[in-house]
Amino acid sequence: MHIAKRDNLPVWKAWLIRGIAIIIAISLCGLITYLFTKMNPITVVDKMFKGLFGSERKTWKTVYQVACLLGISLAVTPAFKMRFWNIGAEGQVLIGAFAAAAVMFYAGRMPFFNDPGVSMEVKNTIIFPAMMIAAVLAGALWGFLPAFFKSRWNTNETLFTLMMNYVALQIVKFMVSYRGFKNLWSPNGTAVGMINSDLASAGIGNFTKIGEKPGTQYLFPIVVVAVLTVVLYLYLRFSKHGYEISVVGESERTASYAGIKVNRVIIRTMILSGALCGLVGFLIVGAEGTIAANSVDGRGYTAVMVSWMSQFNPIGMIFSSLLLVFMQFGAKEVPMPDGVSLDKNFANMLMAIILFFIIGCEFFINYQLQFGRHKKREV
Amino acid sequence: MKKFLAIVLCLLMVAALAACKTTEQPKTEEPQQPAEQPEQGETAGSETTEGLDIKVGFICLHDENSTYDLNFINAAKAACATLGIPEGNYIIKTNIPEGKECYETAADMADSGCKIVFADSFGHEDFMIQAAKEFPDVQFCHATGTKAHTENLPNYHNAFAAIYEGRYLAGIAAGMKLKEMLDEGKITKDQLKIGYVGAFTYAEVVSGYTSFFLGVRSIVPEVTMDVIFTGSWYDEKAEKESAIKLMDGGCVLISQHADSMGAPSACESRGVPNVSYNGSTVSVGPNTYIVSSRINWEPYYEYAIKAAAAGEAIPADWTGTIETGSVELFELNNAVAAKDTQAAIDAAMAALKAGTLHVFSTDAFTVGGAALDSYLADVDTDPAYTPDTEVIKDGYFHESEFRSAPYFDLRIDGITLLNESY
Repeated sequence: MHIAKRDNLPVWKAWLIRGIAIIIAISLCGLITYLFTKMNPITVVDKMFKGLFGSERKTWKTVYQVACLLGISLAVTPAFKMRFWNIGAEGQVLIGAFAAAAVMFYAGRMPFFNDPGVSMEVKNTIIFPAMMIAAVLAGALWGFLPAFFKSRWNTNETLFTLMMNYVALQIVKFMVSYRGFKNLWSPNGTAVGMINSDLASAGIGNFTKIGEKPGTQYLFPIVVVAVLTVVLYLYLRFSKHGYEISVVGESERTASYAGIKVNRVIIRTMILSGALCGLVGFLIVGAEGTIAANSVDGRGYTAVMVSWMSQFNPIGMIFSSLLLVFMQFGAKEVPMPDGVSLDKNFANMLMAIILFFIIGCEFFINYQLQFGRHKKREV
Repeated sequence: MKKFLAIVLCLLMVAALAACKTTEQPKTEEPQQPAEQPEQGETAGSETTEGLDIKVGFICLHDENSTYDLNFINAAKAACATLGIPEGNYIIKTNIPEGKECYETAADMADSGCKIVFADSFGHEDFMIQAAKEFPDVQFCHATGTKAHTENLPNYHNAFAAIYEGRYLAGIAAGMKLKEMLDEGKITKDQLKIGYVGAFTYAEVVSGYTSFFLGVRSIVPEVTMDVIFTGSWYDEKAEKESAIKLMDGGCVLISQHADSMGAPSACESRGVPNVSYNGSTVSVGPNTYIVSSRINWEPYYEYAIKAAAAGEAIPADWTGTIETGSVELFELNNAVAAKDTQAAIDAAMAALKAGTLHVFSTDAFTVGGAALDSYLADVDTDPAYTPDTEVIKDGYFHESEFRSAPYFDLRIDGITLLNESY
């Protein structure tokens, strides 16, 4: 038996393989859920649906979760398309979120923002752009550093971006959430709760007062990510930059023969990636009104998968994000007979199964297993 | 091919990271338990004649593997069974961190029709308040919190118990043991030193070890105590090492306020008597475990759920006592405890109930060599710990009266803190 490269698999066949993989993955998830909970799978799915879309507020929240994951997936896509293995989205989003939260935190200590004479709208028109700019800059810096070192000294970007995640995580922990440690933002040594809770409940520095109905604070992030999806689709597909990214991704040599300044493209794209991650960080802080070490909660890594399994296609990412959010957040909505709900550990298990199958099936799309002695070229 | 392999490896690495990232707790066993649980619910449901028609939500920081959360989960199930709330009408969510997730979970519960939502961890407080502001028709109850009496929300409440009384009683059991050791000649009077492993220097811990110490001293007046803080509620290794350090330093009895089996198992290996908190540790210390005090949350849950169902107001602060059944001393291990321990405990308990005995009586302790006649405690939470309330009157420190959560944070004479960095 040996493994051979498939030359050109028809598109419909590739999608058939993917479809089968998803069906197997979901069936396996159903089976495992059944084995652990002994509940009818239909009931479980029904509970997941009710938990995620059972009310207007819940629907908003679910769409917001999809938007977050989608936003980060979009952000990492330019870098991946360039074959720059940026697994630093987690840190880029977190540091962006941290910068936005810092603006929110210190603005809350300025007399201007505590002046009841100034309306909420005026305060927000100042604080939102400031938070956004801070977040985008911080994210861009986190993207720039690995790209700069890569282009200058050819460092390994995978390790570099990975390490940057831990740097961001430790900075955030140090500033806001070490328990028992007199951290800067929370002198009594507990994790930071709502930042500036008085201002926050007046809707300053967060999106809570954007809509009247419960849940509409998620509207703004959702709209931003929706616009971002379209823009990034156009950028990658039709712009000169997008073309350069593809060429560099195919082959750096070809790119430099064609007169593309490879290092410049790498740095520019990574700054873009980081900046977009930072933007999502701002959206998370704005929607949630606080920051914690787990604000990103692994979505920076999940986004890599989303981007990959959608073949870097922004439109495909909408569906991948939806599927993953449905499984991950939906599982937590399933109460077992004794009243204790399934928790995030179980949800992660389901997500891992789905990712395993979807990523795994790409192997069968690109390669085929051959039994016996066929006269095909070896890889 | 090489390149492809590299990509696959890369993705596997990311997959592993994505999987590890979010599962920081070392426990995932939870879903395996339901097999035996449903019967419990059924029998409980059939016993009661009429059930309360109300939906209830419970939010827990960790799951059943933590003694702290297990104590809450058991109380929640028991309270629902007693009140006849059918399964499906109460939701328990575990592993909810002290962050935004707490607000989301509380809001979801309110959204699904819960009329009352409980949370069990100190850091949940801000997020419960946030949910309380958004859902004024739903009651939000938070155990161990400190802000309800200043927040002035009609639907946000704190609860705790006068657990210092339970600690004091546990201290009496420890004191009886020391007395027995003295009488049997196992130790001399100059060896009367005990040790305590604490988590943080929070008032909750200070109040706990001080009341425990005062209980011991009521039996053996010469005793002193060393305290080590670990900086974590759950760190088995640090708790074990701290206990060993205390024993190396000459402590002849150990107690602790942290959630792992670290200190009890260290005591068992050295044969040093141990007094526990929040749960019996007799399983790891059959030859050293004496007794454990704990807060039983069931009375509060039942009270608050009933009040919510009837539309009655729940006080901003609710403090459970021995009388409400919230403060318990349980599983006295007669194999280790001294003779007549139960009688001594019963006598003290009766005196506490009658109000003739006060744990923090100003006659019982001194600070810097002098007895106190006045002390301003930080009862109203603020970042700078501003003392704001006079808590000493009628000759004793009024713990858990101005708010349910403890605020006794005095460093009394006779107790040495070996570290204070947490």
